[in-house]
Amino acid sequence: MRKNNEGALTRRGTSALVRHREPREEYLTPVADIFETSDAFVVRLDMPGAKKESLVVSAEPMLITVKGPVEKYHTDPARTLVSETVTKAYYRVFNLTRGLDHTRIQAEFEDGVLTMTIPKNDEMKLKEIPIQ
Amino acid sequence: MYVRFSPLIDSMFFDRDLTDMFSGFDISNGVLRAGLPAVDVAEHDSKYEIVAELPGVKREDLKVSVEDGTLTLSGERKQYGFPEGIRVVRHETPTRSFTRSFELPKDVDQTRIAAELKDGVLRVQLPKAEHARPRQITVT
Repeated sequence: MRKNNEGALTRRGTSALVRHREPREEYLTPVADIFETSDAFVVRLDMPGAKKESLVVSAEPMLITVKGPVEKYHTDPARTLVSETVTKAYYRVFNLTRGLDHTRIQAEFEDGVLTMTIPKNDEMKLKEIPIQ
Repeated sequence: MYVRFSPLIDSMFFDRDLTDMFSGFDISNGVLRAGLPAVDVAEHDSKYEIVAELPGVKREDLKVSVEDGTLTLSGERKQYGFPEGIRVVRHETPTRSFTRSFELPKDVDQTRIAAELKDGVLRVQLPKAEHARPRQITVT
């Protein structure tokens, strides 16, 4: 399923994107909700087990990168009876196009959910055009 | 689950998982795909421990109960719906309520079960009854 993504990356092949090709097998891509309000986009990511202190959200003009390590849930169990979780670091990248202000992104982490609010530039906000 | 796209918005967020929206996460695990929380169960010398991933679930929306030797986790992520008047660009998170049940081993002391929810992870401690714990016998 990753092959398609490689294609997409290559098509847009800028050095900035190539730089972010990290060994992705090591990471778990967190699921996301994204919605648009009148003045911002809001991205919510499910990252259970991540810690606020070790989460890294970095923003560049065209790119937001989210990383969060997860510690193993069990230390040295005598026996593992059920194992469904995948305790790897979270990693997900979002590309932004123009119209969003990457310098004013707000991020908060609560209940294992990272919420990022990405404000729109004035040029992107809906304008009402007065009828003469 | 519903997702709406318009050409304008697609170009706004171009995530590299766009082509595989719903299978784009690395969990090849039917439990999570069904919207149920992923669970680990480990056994230690003195206890069992259940760990469940419940991102976005508030303590008041979660129920942990024990009845007839069965432990049941149930809940819903109520607080994380979408606000009114917004436009949904992508919706990948599970929203349905969930229930998972576990038959408890006989050696669990059911009166001392404790549960804690933190950072979207529920930990249920199930201590073993004193008589069931492994003991070191000193050889004299």
